[in-house]
Amino acid sequence: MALNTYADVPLNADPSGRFVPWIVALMVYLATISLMVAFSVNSIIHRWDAGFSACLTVEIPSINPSDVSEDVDNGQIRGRIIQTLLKTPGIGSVRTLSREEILKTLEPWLGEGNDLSQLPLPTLLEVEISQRDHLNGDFLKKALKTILPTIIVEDHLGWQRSILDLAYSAQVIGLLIVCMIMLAAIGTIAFTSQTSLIIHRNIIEILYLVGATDAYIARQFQNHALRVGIKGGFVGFLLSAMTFLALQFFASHLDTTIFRDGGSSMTLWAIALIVPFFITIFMMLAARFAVRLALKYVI
Amino acid sequence: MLQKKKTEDVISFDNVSLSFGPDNKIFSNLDIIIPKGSFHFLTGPSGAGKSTFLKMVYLSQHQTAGSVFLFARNTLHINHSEIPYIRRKIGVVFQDFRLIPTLNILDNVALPLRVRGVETRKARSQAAELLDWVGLEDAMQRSPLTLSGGQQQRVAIARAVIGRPEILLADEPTGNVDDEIALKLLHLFEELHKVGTTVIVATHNRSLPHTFHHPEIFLNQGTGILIPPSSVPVFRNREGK
Ligand SMILES: Nc1ncnc2c1ncn2[C@@H]1O[C@H](COP(=O)(O)OP(=O)(O)O)[C@@H](O)[C@H]1O
Ligand SMILES: [Mg+2]
Repeated sequence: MALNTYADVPLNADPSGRFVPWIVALMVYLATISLMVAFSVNSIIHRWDAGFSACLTVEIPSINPSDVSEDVDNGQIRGRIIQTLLKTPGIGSVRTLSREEILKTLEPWLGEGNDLSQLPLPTLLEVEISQRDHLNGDFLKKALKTILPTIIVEDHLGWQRSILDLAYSAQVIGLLIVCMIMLAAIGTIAFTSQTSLIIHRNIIEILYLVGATDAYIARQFQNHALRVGIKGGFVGFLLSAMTFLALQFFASHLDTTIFRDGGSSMTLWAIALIVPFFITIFMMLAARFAVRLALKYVI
Repeated sequence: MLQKKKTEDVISFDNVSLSFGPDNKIFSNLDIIIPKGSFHFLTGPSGAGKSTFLKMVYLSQHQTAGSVFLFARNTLHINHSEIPYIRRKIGVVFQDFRLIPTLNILDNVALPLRVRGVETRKARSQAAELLDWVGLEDAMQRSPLTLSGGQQQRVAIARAVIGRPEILLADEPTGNVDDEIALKLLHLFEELHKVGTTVIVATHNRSLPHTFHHPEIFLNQGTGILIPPSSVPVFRNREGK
């Protein structure tokens, strides 16, 4: 409706009218790519989160009989540790690794074919975590250490947490960039609208004299923002679509499912379409409010 | 002081004074009543305040003392947001035309309808009819910048009347055109007056009121005198036109 009517105020001919659509195209492109990255990181986080620390390893060093009071032996200690583990919320199952399994993991260091039957080996427990949210790792470690101070709990949680934190911050930064781009788009349009309003003071005055309301005048600027949004949004969409297709192409040569699995690919295309749409809507609102404010307080 | 305004008085100035600064008094204690459907010439030497008087009527200038009533409403009590709706009842032919140079004359004439929300196609077809009425049917696509003063004058008139205003104000409409065209333009105003429009034509040419048998409001030195049509003496104005 707005596009097939002519504009009373020749905003398209303004000096700013020529470069603002390109700036908008760039903003649309950057916002789209940032959101796509944030989304991809999000799905990677989910995948990692599911795969990460599905288990922990508890190492019970073999006890030197002189270290402990005489009424306990290795078997009793192990039993108490396993019981504590099983009672802990979030723990699914506990499996004791066999001597052969432990030796197998040590093979690279010890070499093959040695007679290791006399080697004192620690007991290794493979603990499966069923619900990670329910598991309090620190509390569990403390509980186990009271049973046996020399126990070693390898929960992999530390470095996994750091990687997840890193991924989350990347995501937050991506979203912040999108917000800043939105603000920049709003600011650009608000500022150029107010400038145009001053440039075209004479025309605005004529519009007033023939009975135009503030709303009518603001609509001229809003329609202009729509045109700018459509132009810039279209170019921005083309750029992000090309980037996305290129990434998909390269990803297909790598062993990764990022950008390629059906569901997330759909979402990424949706992002590419929605971002220009929202930026345009925001710009229209920005133009309208900036002009109405200016008409009220400046002109 | 008049308390109650008669509704048939479409414009009334009640003890109105206006000054731009201490030594620049334009009007003092002006009392003027313009009845509905009347036709007045507003005369006076250049600088007497004719344009300023019209500005007060179309709500572009407020008095510094006294009251102006427009459509039986005190103009000081008219809300900012109501002004556009009141201006739509007033057609103005500005002394400097005030056409939009970036629009062709068809869209210039259509403008008052478009700001009222009339769809472009309908507004343009009515504008075309009016351009036909003022004899510019062949120039519709041209920019106002390419027209002569007299042609721009006629575009301005077409734009002033397209919204079927209740009041038509014309500021020196005969100033830029030769006598023959001036007479034609005034006959256009006569036509509108005959269908009930209240018309005020500001001019420094004091022979016009006599020619057209309409009352004259003569502004001079801050005062205004109403001169009925019959008693207007025939004389040439000071500028000798
Ligand atoms: N906004 C203004 N500020 C100061 N002086 C003004 C303003 N508008 C009009 N005047 C003065 O008011 C006087 C009347 O002007 P105007 O109404 O244009 O006269 P006319 O139309 O009869 O020639 C002039 O002396 C003009 O300088
Ligand atoms: Mg004047």
